[in-house]
Amino acid sequence: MNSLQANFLNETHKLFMKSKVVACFVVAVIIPVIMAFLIALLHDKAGVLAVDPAGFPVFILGGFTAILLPLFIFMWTADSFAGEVGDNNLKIVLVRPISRFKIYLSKIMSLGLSAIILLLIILLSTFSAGFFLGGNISSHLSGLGNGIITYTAAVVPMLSLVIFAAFIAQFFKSSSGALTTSIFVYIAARLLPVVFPTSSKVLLFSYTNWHEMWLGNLASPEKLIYAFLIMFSSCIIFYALGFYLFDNKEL
Amino acid sequence: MEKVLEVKNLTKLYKNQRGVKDISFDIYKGDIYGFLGPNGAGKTTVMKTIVGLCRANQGEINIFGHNITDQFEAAIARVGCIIETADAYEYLSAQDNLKIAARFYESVGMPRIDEALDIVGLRPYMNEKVGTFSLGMKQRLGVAAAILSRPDLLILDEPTNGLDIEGMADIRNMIVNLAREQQVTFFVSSHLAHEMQLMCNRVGILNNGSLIKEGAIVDILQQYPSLEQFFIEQAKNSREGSIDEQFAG
Repeated sequence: MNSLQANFLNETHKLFMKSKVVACFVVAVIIPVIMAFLIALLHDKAGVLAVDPAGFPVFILGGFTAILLPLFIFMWTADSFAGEVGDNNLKIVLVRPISRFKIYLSKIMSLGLSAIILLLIILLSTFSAGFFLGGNISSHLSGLGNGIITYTAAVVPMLSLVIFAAFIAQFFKSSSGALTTSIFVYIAARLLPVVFPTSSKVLLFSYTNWHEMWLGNLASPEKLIYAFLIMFSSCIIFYALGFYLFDNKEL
Repeated sequence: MEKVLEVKNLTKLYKNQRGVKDISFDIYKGDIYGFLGPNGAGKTTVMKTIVGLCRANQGEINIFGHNITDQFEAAIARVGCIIETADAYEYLSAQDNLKIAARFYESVGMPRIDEALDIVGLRPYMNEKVGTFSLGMKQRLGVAAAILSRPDLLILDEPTNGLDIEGMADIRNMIVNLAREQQVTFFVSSHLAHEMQLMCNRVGILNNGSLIKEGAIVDILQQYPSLEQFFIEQAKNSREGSIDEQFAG
């Protein structure tokens, strides 16, 4: 097993052994169930169907990608980088036969994999919970089809957030500082277009709902490519800067 | 004799200008080389630079002929170490901590993990989370992690820190036995002259960031009643030398 593979397995092992990560997955299962129950209750009591069964997975994804997924990603990434510096644990891997480049890359890969697994769990949970909303099997399957497309598209902005959060974490020796700053920057960047509307076109954080461009009447290929390039170039910049800081870190 | 560690003109200064200056020494296969010096002398700084935890401002470090800057993975592949504190993931068990380390080495499997835990006396506690361990148990786990891959060079920064008298004796005996029977090379630091005298065959005296003297323990003890006396003499000479330099300047 080469050192990159070894540390990728190690980072993933460590991540899934943390109770706060497991708690995030539990939340990801519970929230769609609760939302489906509430929507069904509203339909029963008031006759209003807020979300149809086919649109339920995408409806839930919108809420997750705007708020909960970024929060979880920032928390896991802060722990993985700044948290390990604060706990004196980063040393453990730095003295093993693996370069800092591979350590950084394997941490990002493991966090990315965790985000993908989380998206998969949310998709399965929303699909299952959607049966509370009634409807026939074909509408549920149609919803699942749309869900697969949109949840796959959502991987790109979520991976971008992992790389951004890893960059922020390099400035801190504790996970709380890194987490707070990531959240603050995220909120500020989401609010900035209110004051400077054109900024939304170039900010990575404006595309956390990129999955919506893949629905129904698809956005033009140019818009999709433009959004992808913004995220991709942001990833390159944040990855390079983050790795530079990580490589020069002294313990 | 095979040169295991070569340090040439190593200088590492922190922002407060404290650190080490122009350190050069070599360690050969089978040596138990001790770094003796008071707290703040620079022992840990040198060790951190050797294993890549910080970068030198100047100088060169080669381990088994591989440069630590250009060929880090090859240089560190045959090295085990404890630097400053024996660290572990507290939310994992002792065994899981060693599994994490073992993944980097093809030759290390579960039998070796169990063997390492046996050597340090932690086998009965292998499934307990490290967060529940005492300082001495964490130190033992650190030793287990360091010896896990059967390294040819072990770099141990104050390895008996936190251990009781029996624990200290166990570590000393382990070091001496591994060096004698398996030709493992040791680079050990301590501020306790007596401990160095019991373990090491060669010693380097570090004070105020400089390597002021090196020598074989056997030769030193022919001239001085103890290593402690030798250290005191060298430290005194070093202080007088620097005072003379100030006056000459």
